[in-house]
Amino acid sequence: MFQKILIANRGEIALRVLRTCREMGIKTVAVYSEPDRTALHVRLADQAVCIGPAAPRESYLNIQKVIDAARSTGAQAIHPGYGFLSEREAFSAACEEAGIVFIGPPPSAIRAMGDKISARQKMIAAGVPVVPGIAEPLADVAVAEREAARIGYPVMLKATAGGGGKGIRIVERKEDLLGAFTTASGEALSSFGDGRLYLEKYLVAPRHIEVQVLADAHGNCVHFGERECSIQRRHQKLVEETPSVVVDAEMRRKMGAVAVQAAQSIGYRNAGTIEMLWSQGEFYFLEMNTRLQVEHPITEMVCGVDLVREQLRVAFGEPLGYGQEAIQRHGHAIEVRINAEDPEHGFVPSTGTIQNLRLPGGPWVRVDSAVYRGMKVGLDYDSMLAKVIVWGHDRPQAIARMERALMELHIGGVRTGAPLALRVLRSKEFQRGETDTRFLERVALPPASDRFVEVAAIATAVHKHLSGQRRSLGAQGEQSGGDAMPAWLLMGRRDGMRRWS
Amino acid sequence: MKYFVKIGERELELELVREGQSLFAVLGDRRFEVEHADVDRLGQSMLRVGPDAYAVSMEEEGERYRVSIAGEGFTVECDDERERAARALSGEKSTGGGLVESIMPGIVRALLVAEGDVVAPDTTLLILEAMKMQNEIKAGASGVVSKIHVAVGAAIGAGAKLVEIKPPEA
Repeated sequence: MFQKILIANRGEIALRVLRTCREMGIKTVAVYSEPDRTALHVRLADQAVCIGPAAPRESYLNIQKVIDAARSTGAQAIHPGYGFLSEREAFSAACEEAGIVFIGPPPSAIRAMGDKISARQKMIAAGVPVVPGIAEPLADVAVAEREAARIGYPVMLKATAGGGGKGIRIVERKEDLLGAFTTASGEALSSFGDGRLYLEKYLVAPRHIEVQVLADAHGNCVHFGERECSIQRRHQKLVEETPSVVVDAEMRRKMGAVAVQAAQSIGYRNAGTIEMLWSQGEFYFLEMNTRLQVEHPITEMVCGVDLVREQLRVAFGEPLGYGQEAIQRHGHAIEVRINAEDPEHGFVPSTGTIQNLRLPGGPWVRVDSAVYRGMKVGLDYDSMLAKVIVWGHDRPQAIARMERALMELHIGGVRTGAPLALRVLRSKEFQRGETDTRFLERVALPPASDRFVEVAAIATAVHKHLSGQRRSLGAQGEQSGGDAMPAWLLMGRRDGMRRWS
Repeated sequence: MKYFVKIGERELELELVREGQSLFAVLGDRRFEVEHADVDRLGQSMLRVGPDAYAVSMEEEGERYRVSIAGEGFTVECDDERERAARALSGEKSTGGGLVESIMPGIVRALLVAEGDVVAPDTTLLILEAMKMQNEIKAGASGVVSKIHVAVGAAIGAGAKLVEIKPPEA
């Protein structure tokens, strides 16, 4: 096995990879940008290399700096995590050239799936069902209008180089096409350096269902079943679960076989995910993510597998050592992503410093997070702060457990989507499994409970009441240091006095 | 002391009364003994209302408070009776709908209107890029663009003035 690997990422995923490495006795090298020097992935790694300023282009996305860091520390392999360099063909190739193992697929497989249009064409050729649409880049709005009219509204505009929900627009009417085309193309250009768009049919009540695959270098490929990720905001996943309520053993076998076929048709190696849309009993290939995914832990929970360990093993050249029949699923797992964003204002990113932090625990609750007190949340990086993952014997138990975990969670200093996720879990529609990718636009979520509204009112009044007393204490200069004493310290003392009196 | 609290659409009036070492909250005809203990001096506290215990987290956000209880979040406005009286005297008015402010930090990628343009509530005024997402900022009201405060390429903070819209002549 590798003795030392470099993790070319940050945040929770860097920590996730690091943890498995430590369990396997593999030394880790972290890379970090200047503002990340206090980050947990840096502090917990065996070695760390600063690779530049905050801007991703000058640090985490800089192939040469990452390769140099691996060379100077003697790392034998690089794990790219997700995002950043994970799906860059050039990076996989640069590793190969430098004699460093890329823990992921070969450059050719990234290329085959990286361009959404060529991926679609390859899948059609391999006999994999795809969503009706045009498999070529749209030359201009006029072509988009013609094609949209041909396959019928609503249609979806998507960036050919897309990912992470960027450069995607749903267009309901012809009148909206121009605006959507312009913004999606601009977004794609600034995110991916490629403004080309393609167009496909927007399906009725589609569920986002994806299949985890794993392939070794010896021609073996298995799948670990599906994950349903239909609860999305701005085309980014918010709640994920496995199994999906619409996938039974037979459907799982069919989807799994298609996923394995898709992966093998492009010579895939390592862990990957075939994303599909499920609509009215049919499923269609959407795209392949040629990397480990954010929501991989739910698969780990029901299959009892450490996917990062498997990635390391197959990257080292070990054969899988087991077949499809060895993969048994047990129970139900749910993940909620905790993003720094404000669901009350269209999910705009929220920034600040994390001061107030309480993470959940207890049986079958897993928190993958790199959040710590004092951490600054800015706009340089992705807004995801943490993932809460639970396992339950069945779906109702998993839902109840996640509800309980989210009731324990508190991240202060920034707004997060956690309160919204809680309302999703409590909705009748989610509990009945009536999920589709338009869930958040479609479903009226249950309001906050009246009792908590009153408690919040009392809490605020009491807070104000005590701050008023605190201010009058400060004004009297009663404590030595008077005004110089921080308000919270005075408040703490005042509370202390009250309790002991 | 009386407190006037606004949470979303709900308005509540409550009174805090100290009797010896005890604090009581009075809501209408209900009265609860209240105990409050700060936990970590970072915003977390124990709040007991009658027999019911709560883990409360609180952060001040300008003049408002963000209160979290059992995973639910509330934005709370709270005036005590003195502040309410002071506000009534100064005749403070809510800001009109004529000014479009940014609710997020970002970079102005495109301006789609000019001063003097007539806009409807769903007219896109400009495109603001934040976290690599391009967001269409809409007018939110009908009227005439009277002033544009930003230029293409400008990096702006949350709360920055973007565009002013004069209501249409009656």
